[in-house]
Amino acid sequence: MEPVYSIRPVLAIAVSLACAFLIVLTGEKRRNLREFWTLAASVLGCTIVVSMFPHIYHGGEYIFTMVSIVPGVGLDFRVDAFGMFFAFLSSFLWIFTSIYSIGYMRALKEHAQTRYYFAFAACIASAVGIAFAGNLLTLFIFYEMLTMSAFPLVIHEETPEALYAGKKYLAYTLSGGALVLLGMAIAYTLAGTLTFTSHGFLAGHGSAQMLKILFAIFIMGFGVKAAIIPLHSWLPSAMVAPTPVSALLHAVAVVNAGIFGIVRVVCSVYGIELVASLGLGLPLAIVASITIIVGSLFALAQDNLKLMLAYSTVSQLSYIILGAALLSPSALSGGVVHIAHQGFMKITLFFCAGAILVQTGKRNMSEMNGIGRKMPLTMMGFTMCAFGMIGTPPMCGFITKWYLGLGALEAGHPIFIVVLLASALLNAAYYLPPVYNAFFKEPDASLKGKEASWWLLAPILVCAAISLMLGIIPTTSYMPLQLARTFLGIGGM
Amino acid sequence: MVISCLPVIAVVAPIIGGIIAFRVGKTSEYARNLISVAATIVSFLAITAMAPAVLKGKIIEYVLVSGEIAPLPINFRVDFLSLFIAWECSFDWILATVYSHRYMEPLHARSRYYLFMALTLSAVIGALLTKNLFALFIFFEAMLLTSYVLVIHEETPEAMSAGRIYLFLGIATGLFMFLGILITYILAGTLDLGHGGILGGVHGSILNILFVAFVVGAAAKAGIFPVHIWLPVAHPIAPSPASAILSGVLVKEGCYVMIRVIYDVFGLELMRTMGVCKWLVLIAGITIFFGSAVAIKQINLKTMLGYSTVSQMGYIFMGAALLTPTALQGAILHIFHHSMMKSALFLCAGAFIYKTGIRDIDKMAGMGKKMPITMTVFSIAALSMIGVPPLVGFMSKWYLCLGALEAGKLMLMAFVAVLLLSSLMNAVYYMPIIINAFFGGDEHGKEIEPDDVPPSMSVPMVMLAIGIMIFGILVSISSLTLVRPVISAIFGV
Repeated sequence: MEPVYSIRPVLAIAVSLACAFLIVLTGEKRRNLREFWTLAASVLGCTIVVSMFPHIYHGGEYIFTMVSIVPGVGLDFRVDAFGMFFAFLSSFLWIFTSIYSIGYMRALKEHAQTRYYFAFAACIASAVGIAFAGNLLTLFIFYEMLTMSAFPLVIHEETPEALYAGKKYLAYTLSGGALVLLGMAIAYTLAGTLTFTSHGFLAGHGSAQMLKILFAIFIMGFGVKAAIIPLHSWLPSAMVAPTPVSALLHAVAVVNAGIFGIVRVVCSVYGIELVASLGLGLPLAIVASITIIVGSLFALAQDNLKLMLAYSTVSQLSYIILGAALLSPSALSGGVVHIAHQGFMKITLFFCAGAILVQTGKRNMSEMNGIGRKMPLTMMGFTMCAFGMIGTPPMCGFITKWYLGLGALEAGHPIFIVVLLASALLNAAYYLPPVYNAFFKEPDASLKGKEASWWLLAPILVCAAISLMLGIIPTTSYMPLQLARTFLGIGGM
Repeated sequence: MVISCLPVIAVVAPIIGGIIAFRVGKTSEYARNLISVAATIVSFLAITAMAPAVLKGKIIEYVLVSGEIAPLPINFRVDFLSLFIAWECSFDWILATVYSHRYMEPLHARSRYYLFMALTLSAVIGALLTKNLFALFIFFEAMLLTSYVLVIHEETPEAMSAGRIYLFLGIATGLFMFLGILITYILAGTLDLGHGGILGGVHGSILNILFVAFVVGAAAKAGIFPVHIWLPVAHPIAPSPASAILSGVLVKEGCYVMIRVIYDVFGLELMRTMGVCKWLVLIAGITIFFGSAVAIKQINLKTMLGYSTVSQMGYIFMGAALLTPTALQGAILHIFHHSMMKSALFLCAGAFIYKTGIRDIDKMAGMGKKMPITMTVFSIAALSMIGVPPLVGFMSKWYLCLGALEAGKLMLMAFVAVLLLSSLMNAVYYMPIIINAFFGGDEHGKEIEPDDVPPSMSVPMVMLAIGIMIFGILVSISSLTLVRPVISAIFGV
């Protein structure tokens, strides 16, 4: 299908950017108007993204070109199914996070809220920019913008701990960015272009040796944001940020930007055939497997709920990398769809952690015995998504595992099924105790609090319901799984 | 070729304006400032007026003093390269002069300052627009002497000793250059630029000596390691607007001469056969690394900016010495980009001094809340220095990386690594300033009222910041219309 020239991808980014500036102009004094901008922009941005959905779903593409930067490479936008996937996820979840943020930030009387909402809108603009980038350079520009605009959110509390986390975050992500830049420059020198194509643009350029080194550079570069072990350590530190930030950025947008980069490198820069012929899939799969297992082991050792969720994110993100590394159609669709599944489930879990913090002031799981009796709806959402993380049907986590398992078999590496099973067991080991304690243990006398306000509760319930729905009807039209299959060109129409 | 006296107007207008301003300064300060600004604007307009002809590919020439009177003619020749740099320099100069209006108010010897600012501008423009090395050398030395007065403006013992180093080192290395010019004249019989190499028929080791002589002369002006020692003492000690043009503009003269020597005196062919450029690349690499490493340890903001200049000049020398089209393009772009960034940074540093008297980095915590405009400009310029896309600093770095890879030698890969490492080091010394300014506490400067600088100071800074953003996104305008013709003339691509 011919690509359609349309300004809509740029509009989707511009809406969030304009919103960021409106927020600053409005300021703390008119905070209701300021929050209105956030909500309006999130809904409008999401609508623009959705308006592109049908055409993309049927295999079409939107393109838009702006200024050129080097010969053959400019600020180009191209919307394909995979970009659609990430953009939709970010902008859709932004609506819920905005609602949640309003409840959360006001309940805790946080300072510098204008800066917070400004940076949030800038982050979403960058994430959508990453999703719609038509070439590696455009992707990189938005990638670095995301790094910068997420920084004020990491150090929002301005405590020494937060400032340290911010420094660590910058050190990791800027180094990663430098590696991506290096890789990009090498790729451009080899191929003379950076435009993504459905079968990769590097095939036939450079020696096998060079391409292998380049691949390692890219993986290390994007791997920082994707929190591959041992490049993950900024992510748990960044949990000092307010919970909505951890929820949307450190479970979905920022980390998935790294994942997005890796999948783009595998699918649109190298192309699956080239990665397979260079034999790069297996090493990447092994790295991903190690991250899955070790991340879960780390999670097992945590008492702080948000830290546990952070390590769980580290582990879960590598499911996606594993899916991309196995290079078989089922594994790839399982991996890509996990971007959405992980996103919906993890954001719910973080929302729950935030709601508990707002209502009871508790951060550690050992203090949350009996919380399920005080906050039944919140803990219901938590439980659903905890089961989803373990991979129990009918939650959407199961669908991911099913396709990854199938993919491992297709790829002829059944060993990775063992990894998946081991990870499921580990997930059970750290997700079930808090669930059990919440409902079946007597609450401490110190535990006070009741169900959170609807600002906090509604996003939890809706996201949990969506996670369930994605598990029940995954093969229906317009579901993420079908979109993922469109991207991979394996039907789904 | 077009004969036009516009170059003469551009050079002479500041001299006349400066002298008038000096006379008027005894009666009216305000009129003096106006005349100074007017003189720089006339010079700027004269240069702009040459643009249409040059953009059409014509070359503007004018003989000021013919060869019958002087030993060699003093004549002008304006091509793309000189026009581009001269345009940028004179524009910077307008901003710095406008800025001086309020900044210089509390300082002494203001009339002398304006006079020598104007004279230095004249020398700078003259050096850029001349046709032969002889005239260039005359303007070069004039520039040294007039800018000496700017360096020692404070007349404190430190300023005098900084001035001594500046003057002695400048004269000593100027002698090397003079030697080089002399030898060139004997060998080639001409000193005219713009023929793409006048030493074509010469062989032997004399060429190596000649090259070293030129490199010493040019490198000392540009502040390249190890003849950089004057720069970190002389630049910070001058009044801030003067520092801005010293660091933003004057060092670029050294780079300009280096480019002219490599491509117009020796010529591309000869440089390639001699193979000495790899040593120059090595020196540039050391300079990049050294400058950034030392900058990290600085306490005084302006000294830190001085070392940052040393490092950045290494970028330009490296780009010039790599002998590839893209690298040269990156070098010329970086001349333009760096002058915007560094002028902005020095003007900001001046704004802090003007408003609060603070010169040390560790006392600048909380400054972002007190002087938001200044600190925002500073942040934009600093982020650009770090190389955050889509700001200008990223664009020149990107071209330099591509240029280094284009050379296709494995050794040069190391220099790409140096380039990226240096940008991370930039982050190490710029980011803490930004973070403390916006997110830190208010331990310092509690007594300072939250008040930004007057418009005559903030407007020049803001204009530079806008330039940093605009020319970053629209890099194709400057790179394709202005720099590309230079490259095609030299490399024939």
